[in-house]
Amino acid sequence: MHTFLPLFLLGLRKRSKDSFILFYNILFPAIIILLLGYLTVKSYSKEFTSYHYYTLVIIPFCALMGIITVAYVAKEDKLSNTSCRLLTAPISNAALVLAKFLSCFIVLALCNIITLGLSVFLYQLPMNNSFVPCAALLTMEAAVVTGIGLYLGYAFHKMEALKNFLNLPIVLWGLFGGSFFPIASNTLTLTTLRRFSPLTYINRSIFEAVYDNRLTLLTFLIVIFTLFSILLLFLTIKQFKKEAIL
Amino acid sequence: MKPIWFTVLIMHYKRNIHKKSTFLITLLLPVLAVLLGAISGKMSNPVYRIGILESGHTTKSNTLITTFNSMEGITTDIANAKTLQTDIRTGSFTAIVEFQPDGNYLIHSVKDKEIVDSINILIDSALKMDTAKVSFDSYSIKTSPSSKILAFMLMFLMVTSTLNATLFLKDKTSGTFLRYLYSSRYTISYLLGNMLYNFIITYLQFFLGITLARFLIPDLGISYGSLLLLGIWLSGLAASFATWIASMFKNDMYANQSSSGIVLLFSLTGGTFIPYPQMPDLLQRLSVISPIRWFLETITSVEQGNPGLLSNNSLIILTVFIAGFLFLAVSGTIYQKKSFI
Amino acid sequence: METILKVTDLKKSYHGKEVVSGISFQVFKKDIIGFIGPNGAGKSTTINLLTALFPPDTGQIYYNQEDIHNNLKSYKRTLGIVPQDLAFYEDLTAYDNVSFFCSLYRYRGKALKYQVKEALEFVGLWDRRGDYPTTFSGGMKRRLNIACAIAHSPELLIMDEPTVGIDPQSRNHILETVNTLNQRGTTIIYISHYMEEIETLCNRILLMDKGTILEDTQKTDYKMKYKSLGTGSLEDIFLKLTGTALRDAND
Repeated sequence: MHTFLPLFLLGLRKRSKDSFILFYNILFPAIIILLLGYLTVKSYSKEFTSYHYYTLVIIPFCALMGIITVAYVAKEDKLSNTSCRLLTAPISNAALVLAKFLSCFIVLALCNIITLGLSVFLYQLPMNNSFVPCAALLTMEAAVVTGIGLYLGYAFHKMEALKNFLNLPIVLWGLFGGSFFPIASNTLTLTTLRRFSPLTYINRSIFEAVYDNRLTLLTFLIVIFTLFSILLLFLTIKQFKKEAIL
Repeated sequence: MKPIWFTVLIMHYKRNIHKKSTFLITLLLPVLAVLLGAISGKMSNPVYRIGILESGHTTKSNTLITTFNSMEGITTDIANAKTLQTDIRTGSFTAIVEFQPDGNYLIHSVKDKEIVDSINILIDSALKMDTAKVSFDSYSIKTSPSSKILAFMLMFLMVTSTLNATLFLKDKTSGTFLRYLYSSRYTISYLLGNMLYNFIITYLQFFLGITLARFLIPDLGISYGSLLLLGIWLSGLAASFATWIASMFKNDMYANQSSSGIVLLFSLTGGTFIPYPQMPDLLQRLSVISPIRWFLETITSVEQGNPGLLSNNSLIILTVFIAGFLFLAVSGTIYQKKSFI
Repeated sequence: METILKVTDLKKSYHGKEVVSGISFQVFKKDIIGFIGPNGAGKSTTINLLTALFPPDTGQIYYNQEDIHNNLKSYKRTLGIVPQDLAFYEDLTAYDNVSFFCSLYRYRGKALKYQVKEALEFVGLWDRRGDYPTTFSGGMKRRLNIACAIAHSPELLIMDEPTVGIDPQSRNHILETVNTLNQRGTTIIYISHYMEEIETLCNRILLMDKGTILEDTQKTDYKMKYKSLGTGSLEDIFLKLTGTALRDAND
């Protein structure tokens, strides 16, 4: 606890002052929603506008892109040469990883919720009862994103090569999950490909919560994300490699 | 005596070639872009998906299912009343038909009036056993397979080029670029060498990708020779864009994430996802700043068989973009010189 | 003389090559040990073992008669490191940097503020506490590097070439700092290639080459021992013992 607190507070401070993280997790999704919404405005009705659609699909997609940001955050001590100080100080791996995890998770989750809130307000999304459950889902998505990013940064020694290609699977997930345009599973290939995208399920659960008042899938996803993020945190602590940040 | 940019090009090659596995993976990556383009083409093929509510499973709904499934451009399936609103909004169904007890039907859809009216006509015709044809001419302009594939390739290659160009980032932070500056050589020679190395790698990637595309889709609409020629501008654009991005930032993460973001914006405004003629007026005007738009226009021009590829206006604009990005890269680097010293 | 650190038969290999070959030595309280050796001698590896960054293949390290690996946290709290590379956050002020690193050693509230003030005043950076390291000169950055290491009042301080690349005034200031720290009770292991610094500061010499300790003795005894070689300077003795051939291996 003694070492966890200063690490956590420093991390929180750095993340919340990082203009790049704030831009990429609040402003950038807002721009994409506006752009895509405007591009496809003719294809939707007045009751359900293109802005409504893209608000609900773009925020989870942009949240997923945070994996790369968090992986870099894990490496920041290596870049600033402060890792030797941290490793020679009386800090446990658990404190180091947990502090990083919580600071990233809190900031990313807040960014997701702020973006959702702004979009709901701007585009008059009818989210009354479903705002909190959707915010909870996006929060747990931030937890998983943080978990994956930290695992890649701390426990995966091939991170340097992998970071070059991390964007691609996320864009593919976005494509098959309907983040760029609504898609139906017309063929077996498409149906199969869509099943591999987590965004297929995330987007669907949000739509079901907002428009059909069904929270089953959403609740299920929240539980899965919670367990998965805890597992990732545990794995990162267990497999933490000093070499990854030295 | 070899020009400096050539020396820099060879230096970059030597720095990368010993990381054989990463080099190979990077070369083969555009294969993914080609597959993506091909799949994306199929995904955006206009088709009406009509859902029929389970509760309304009457003779009429059976008739509808049988008729529609035998028609081109339309598919039917049973819909779930509990997720009706979700299904019509997420694109699982274009519209869902609910048969009422009195024999009438209700269409649930969030699409615009034109589409709903078209679906109404189709359902009416099918129930009356009249022949009706699905027509998408009024609202759908199809993008050719080659446009889709090349647009996706350009998108991918602009991002992966940035990864190659981050060698320059390393040089800035490690002090080796500062050594270069001490030699009284020009910044442009260094950046040109960086860009040309990137160009060669990008063109190799393009070549592999487009050759695969030819196998997957024999009738691409453009000759293989023209495609290889277009590849020069595609690679030049990707390489110069990447060099500009690398010159702007000192941090790997900022460069890569910014590159992805800017490329996405270029793609959205350039017509990768929605064809240019279907875009709203304001965005059509905004799209002039997107090099992807001009690249797609060049492809369209070639597909239409317009003579004189090299005197094509869009191609000239693309060349200006390439030179422009390089100019921005040089200006930015000179401006930032103080931070190296 | 009270032994605070005892190293026995320490060995470490990397990729099949023995980098530290069964070294043994002791560090007494209030020593300033000049830890010298050519590049690739095994000094950095030895320091990495002493700071528990990596475990040894064989051998023990005792701090105050207790194996450091039995209670690593407790041992690390007594340790301070001044790394060769500047190690602080460029986007935090001098004060925040020192405060953060000191807080890792359980200092809080008023005690933390006191320690930070002491450390920054000690290195002469109190007036610049609100400034960012990017605005500092090379010497000031080195001093901040030291402040981050001493803020928690370590009993044992390891300084790895703390005066590299700075002007004589800053170097002089740092050397005076080292002396003052020692007078206040800190034991120091000082690594440097500048023999005049070793000559000025250290009371003991620990000479390492090719993974082994060549000399572990008082400075005066060291100079007396090699007087017969016809030289009195540490540098000449160093070159006589280790040779003048270039050492190209990594340490």
